[in-house]
Amino acid sequence: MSESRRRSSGRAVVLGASSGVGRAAASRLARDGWSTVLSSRGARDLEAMSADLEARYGGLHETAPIDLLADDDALGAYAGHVTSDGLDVAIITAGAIDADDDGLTDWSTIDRLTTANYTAVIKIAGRFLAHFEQQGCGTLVLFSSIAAAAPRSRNVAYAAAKSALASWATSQQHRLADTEIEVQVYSLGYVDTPMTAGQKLLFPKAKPEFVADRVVQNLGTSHRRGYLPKWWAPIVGTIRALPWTIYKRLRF
Amino acid sequence: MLSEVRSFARTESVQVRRHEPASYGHLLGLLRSDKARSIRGAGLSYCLASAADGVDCISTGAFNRVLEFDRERRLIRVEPGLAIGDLVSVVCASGLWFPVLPGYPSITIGGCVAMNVHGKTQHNVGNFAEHVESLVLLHPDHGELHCSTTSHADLFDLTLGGFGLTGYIAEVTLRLQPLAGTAVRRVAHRVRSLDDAVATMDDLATKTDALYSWNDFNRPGASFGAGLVYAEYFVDGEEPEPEPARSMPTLPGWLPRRSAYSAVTMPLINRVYEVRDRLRPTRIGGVVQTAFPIAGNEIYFHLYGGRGFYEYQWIVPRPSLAVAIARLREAVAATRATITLGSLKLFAGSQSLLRFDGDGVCITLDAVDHPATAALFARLDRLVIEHGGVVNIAKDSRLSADVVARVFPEYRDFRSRLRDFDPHRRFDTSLRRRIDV
Ligand SMILES: Cc1cc2nc3c(=O)[nH]c(=O)nc-3n(C[C@H](O)[C@H](O)[C@H](O)COP(=O)(O)OP(=O)(O)OC[C@H]3O[C@@H](n4cnc5c(N)ncnc54)[C@H](O)[C@@H]3O)c2cc1C
Ligand SMILES: NC(=O)c1ccc[n+]([C@@H]2O[C@H](COP(=O)([O-])OP(=O)(O)OC[C@H]3O[C@@H](n4cnc5c(N)ncnc54)[C@H](OP(=O)(O)O)[C@@H]3O)[C@@H](O)[C@H]2O)c1
Repeated sequence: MSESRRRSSGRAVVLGASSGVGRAAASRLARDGWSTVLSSRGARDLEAMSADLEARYGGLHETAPIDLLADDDALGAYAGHVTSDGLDVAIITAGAIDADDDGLTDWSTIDRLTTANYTAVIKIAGRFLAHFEQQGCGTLVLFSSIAAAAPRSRNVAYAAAKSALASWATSQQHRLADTEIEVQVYSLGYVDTPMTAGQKLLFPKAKPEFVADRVVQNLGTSHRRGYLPKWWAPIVGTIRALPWTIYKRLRF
Repeated sequence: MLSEVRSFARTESVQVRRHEPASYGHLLGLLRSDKARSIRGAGLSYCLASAADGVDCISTGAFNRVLEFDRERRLIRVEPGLAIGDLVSVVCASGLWFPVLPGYPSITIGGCVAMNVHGKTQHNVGNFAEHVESLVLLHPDHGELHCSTTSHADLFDLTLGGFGLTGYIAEVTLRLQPLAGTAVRRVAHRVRSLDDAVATMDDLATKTDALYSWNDFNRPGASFGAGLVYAEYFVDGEEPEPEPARSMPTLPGWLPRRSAYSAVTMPLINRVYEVRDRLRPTRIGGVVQTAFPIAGNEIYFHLYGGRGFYEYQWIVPRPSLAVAIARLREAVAATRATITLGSLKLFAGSQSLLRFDGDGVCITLDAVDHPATAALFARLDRLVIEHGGVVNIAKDSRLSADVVARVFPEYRDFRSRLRDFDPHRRFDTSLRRRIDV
């Protein structure tokens, strides 16, 4: 593996930095000496994050607010702004669920979920990849979900969008296979973040710090895809192998 | 969906709707509504100070960031959910220190402001309020208020020790001090009675960086309150890498309701504790680690079992001290209550509003939930009313409005100022209802 790929500090953007896995990833990167660009919608949250990282770990932590539901021009301007000072790593954790996403919900909710979890993500990710290609190296990290690997009658549009995102990531890995550009995609199990707050779940929730640590540790490696925590792999494998007569009865 | 919120001492609980906002957008939305709410930090108040029946409970957990750290001016501006242990880790790394540290590292800054907490150096540095430069308060009817001694001074005063009833404390700016050493030497001095403990502490008061005692209140007669006085001194040494503030482990579900502490087990437990520290009277530890002696010893709380415990804290004015100690000894003997922990701290300062502050000796007693404890604490209430001084409202889940009104000279002032500011009770808790403010 070349030096550039084994990079363990530099400039990284975390889109979704204000909460959950993104917040933990930004903290871990800052602790390891990376400069970060912190993104999500809330400017006040990002300012607080940036000040906190600077106070605890030093370094430069900029904020670049963006709404994934913004129009193409705004997404393009955002990606241009983030890459303008150089970028080595892009971690996109931003995503959204909706309690009404039951397969019957209105089109505007479906549009919103598809945009926030897939179309806007690949529009921005595609621009980051273009930057990496120009520079000859870089790592893009994306997040899918066990909901995509084992769909059920909840989070219907969300699971479809995350499935599309995982598929897009694999296509990009294939396209960029012989380059110094890494595309990594994780299927997350339950993580203890605002996304799962108050939900009674069948399996334990992982700490966002645990997930973030694994993600940051894998930055310099050729890791391509996998479940986090890893123990979800046999669980999802078992669920997928179940005959339909049993699968259709599962409430997970 | 409703979920249970318990007081730390486990003697009170309610079912409430809990909110865990992670963004300012979400938080401000929750604060805009007309519905009453309570604010919850780490939930480590012994009484139910951060929840109430029918009131939405808003957690400050995600708001735990340092917003500004001015090392030159020794000021730090933080969000309310920052754990006090994290605060000291951050400032220590820059050679600075915050001198008022309550006993557990995950206690939040918001909780420290609302209860105006004290540490082990109260007689030298005062309570938490004395180190707050300014704060930002959010209130649905008043908006965002920047409070200090020069801006909204009355509200600033009411909020420091205001039990979280004046609004959501969104930011706190604290004054820091230079760090006097990179490690702490703790020396345990043996004392043979409560009077001896007070005399030893008085002798050490000006020479130490922190001072407290452990006393056995189950010993009869002249040795009542025998134990150890701990004196701490900053020294140079190796400070370990800062770690995130330890959280209070939740009680395992299988815990029996019965307490492991009883008249039979307590003498043994106390003897083991005392001998352990007498055998190794001097220890050197990291500054952060030594600041929070209970961290790592949480089993002490778990052994109370599911029914929980009660704590009494009383700042006894100096002129009443001798007679108060004698009456306390009589009360313990007469009620046959089993005291699981006894402790002293020296206090200096002036008392106002409902703050746990003033000149004197702070006596702390913990006891299991038992009729003998109820009888003892009721006697102590009468002793306080008779001999003066104040009790710690944050620590005692059974104090009645009547006792609080009789103990605190400014009770009515606090009550009317709070009602003038928040007549619709946008902020409400079980504690507020019990003490009727
Ligand atoms: C092991 C242990 C040791 C302790 N040692 C000491 C000690 O040495 N000295 C001492 O004085 N106390 C001590 N305490 C008590 C403790 O410091 C106080 O009860 C403190 O208030 C707990 O803070 P918390 O973060 O747990 O807040 P909570 O218990 O959740 O809340 C306490 C109060 O703060 C209010 N509050 C919290 N955040 C906000 C906010 N953002 N805006 C408005 N109101 C808010 C709540 O509404 C509530 O009224 C100890 C407690 C424990 C469990
Ligand atoms: N938590 C789980 O159990 C779990 C399970 C499987 C997969 N995942 C996936 O893992 C990733 C991280 O999840 P998480 O639990 O950390 O989520 P989270 O705590 O809910 O955080 C989501 C982040 O996305 C941002 N965001 C949401 N909508 C946005 C928008 N329209 N534009 C810009 N930013 C937006 C949020 O910030 P603002 O709201 O401030 O904009 C926040 O920073 C997500 O992609 C999620 O789908 C999570």
